[in-house]
Amino acid sequence: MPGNPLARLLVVTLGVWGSACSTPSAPLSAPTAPTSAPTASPPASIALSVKRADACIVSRPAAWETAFARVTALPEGTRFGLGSPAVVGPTVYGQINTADSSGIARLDLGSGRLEELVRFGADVSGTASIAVSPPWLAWTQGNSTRNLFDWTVYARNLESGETLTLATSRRADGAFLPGQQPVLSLRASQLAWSQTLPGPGPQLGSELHVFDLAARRDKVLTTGRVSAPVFSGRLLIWGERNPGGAYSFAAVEALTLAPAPLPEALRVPGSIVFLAGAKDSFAWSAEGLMELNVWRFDANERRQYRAPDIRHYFQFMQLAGGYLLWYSGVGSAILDLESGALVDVSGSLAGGDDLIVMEQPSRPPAKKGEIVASRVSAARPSGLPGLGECRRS
Amino acid sequence: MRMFTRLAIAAAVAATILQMPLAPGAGAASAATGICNDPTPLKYLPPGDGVSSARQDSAAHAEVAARKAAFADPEAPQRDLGTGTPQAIAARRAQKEAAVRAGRERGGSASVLPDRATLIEVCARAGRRATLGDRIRAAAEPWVSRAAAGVSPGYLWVDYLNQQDQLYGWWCGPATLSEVARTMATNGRLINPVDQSTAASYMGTDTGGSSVSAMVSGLNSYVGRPVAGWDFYMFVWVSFYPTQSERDTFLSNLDFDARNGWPVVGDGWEELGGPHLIGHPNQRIFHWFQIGGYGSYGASIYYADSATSVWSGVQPFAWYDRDALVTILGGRGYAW
Repeated sequence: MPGNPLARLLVVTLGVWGSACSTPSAPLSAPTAPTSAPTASPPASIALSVKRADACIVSRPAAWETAFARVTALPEGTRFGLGSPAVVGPTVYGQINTADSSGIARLDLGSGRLEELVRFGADVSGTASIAVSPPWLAWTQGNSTRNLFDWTVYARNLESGETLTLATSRRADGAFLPGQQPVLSLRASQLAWSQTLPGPGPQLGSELHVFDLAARRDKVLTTGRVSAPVFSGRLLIWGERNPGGAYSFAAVEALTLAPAPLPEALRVPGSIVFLAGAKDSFAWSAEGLMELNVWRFDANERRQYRAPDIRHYFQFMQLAGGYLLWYSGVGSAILDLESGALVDVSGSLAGGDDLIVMEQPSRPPAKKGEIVASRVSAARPSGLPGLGECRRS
Repeated sequence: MRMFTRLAIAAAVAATILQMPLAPGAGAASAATGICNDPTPLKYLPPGDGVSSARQDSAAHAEVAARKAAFADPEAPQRDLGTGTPQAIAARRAQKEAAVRAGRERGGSASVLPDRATLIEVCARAGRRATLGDRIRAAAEPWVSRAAAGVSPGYLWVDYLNQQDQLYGWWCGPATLSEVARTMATNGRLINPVDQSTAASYMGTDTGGSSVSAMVSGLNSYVGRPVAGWDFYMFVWVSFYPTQSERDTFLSNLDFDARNGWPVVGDGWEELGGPHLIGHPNQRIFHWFQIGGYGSYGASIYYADSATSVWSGVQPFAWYDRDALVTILGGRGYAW
């Protein structure tokens, strides 16, 4: 009998949102196990350990309710969806939807001012990714709700209003590049993404671009089966897959784009699907999306978490101050990387270096077709108590 | 010989456990041996039970449903919730049962496992090439156990669910139709399964996708009539915010079709902020996909997704939360 195709997950990246359930789990204080010896034979003195834990679902602590109590209510009929790590100071960027239009907007959480920045055409499916580094706003736009190959990458200078079209799947002959909408990572004026190469299938490979928005200069760092890259700490990191199917990471210095030695924690990654980066940590999920790996730069260890159920696949992830925010496909959730406890969020999430932003519907809809206004709240993760320990019920 | 064995097993299953009600808790059935012709779903089975006592986020789902209702869906004029009434479903079920009993469908092929432990044990064995004796024993035992216990299996799927990369961004419909046809062909029920190009041409698929009527017509033209001799597939429209009755009906219909070796076809409407299939970004997306069975006594759904050529986070096969999946079908529906 013919076998079915095995998992052919390439590498990818990004972003956020999650939902509920409850299973017993082991706390993070579970015994640690050394990783298998890396193929690059690192010095024994920096042997890396891996701590494994089952993530568990807990109730949101009262202190969290208090921390997120200050709410910015949006105008009636205005939804503001999050999902990308697009937070700059007290300002969060997301997708706005009203009965008449949709697009990208920014919300100043201090003043409550909501400003529409981009308006989408009628059949635009939304944004695959939003990245911000003032004065630049960059986004990947799905141009069609039915043609999944139709996308464009834009960047806009929010001071001058100039908009650049950086990449598109639309070819001159009317055809489309196959493959996924690029996921963006932006630091200063360097915008990084990978996009598929022309060919009959995405498995042929992608090229990894870094576009200097200030200098208007594009550089292709590598080609092959590469994931979307993410800025993380001083590095720009991406995943690669060789012709034999083996996964590995590669990195360059974020500032110079010069090749960088791979940190010990990334040398034996297992499989790689989604990535997330922050100034002090890096995360990736494995094939099957039930396993998450997190490396905190200040720790000589890697932590592995197992999702509690199929409502919490690790995908579209963001890191924010010791927490993982993600969109599982069923809903959004926040994982305490210290304890392995997680809470579900009814709505969407965005993370900054020291801010977690939560969007939720303000109330159930009162009538068919009504767009319910969002309520948005934020808290500094550094000021939040942990989510608590996982306990066996 | 193996094909004959599988057909015999499938016929035995179809003839004997056709009408068992779904109920959680396998009880005596947990000791039964199951049938695992196709161990592929085991490879994608999540660790642990995979599901838990989930709460529905009713406010968020209602909000998503409201936005669906506000959207100018081109299929809106065709939307007919009358296709999902108990009367309509019962009438269709009677037709299908009659066809199965008359033997017009040339046998099905499905794997049936009473519980997770048995699934792992039996499918792992199947993965190592089970003997003919194993399969005969596996075919007989669950019937005896279930007949005694009066419960449904915990896990059930159509064997050898086919999965293909969709060749173009708007070809999820043709890819899904071709997948269903190839599934039937692999299970010995169809020859010359339709390919994506032919399916796209027949359905008039363009960058706007494949319409509901075209998809149902394609399914019946290339699968329903060649396999069963009649238009086996009909479309059930689902409310924007699916009711509990619609959720239960979906599972019941999937149970019937999967037991008899027929994949169900989902017409997903993924809305920003609402649930999405695994690896799909949080955008508004319309997407056809093949549904092969269920697990955890109906709490999870097993499906194949052609969008592996679109997003690299998409798995060819996945287990997914049933309530979330029916929510995705809300506003559109499924062909069974």
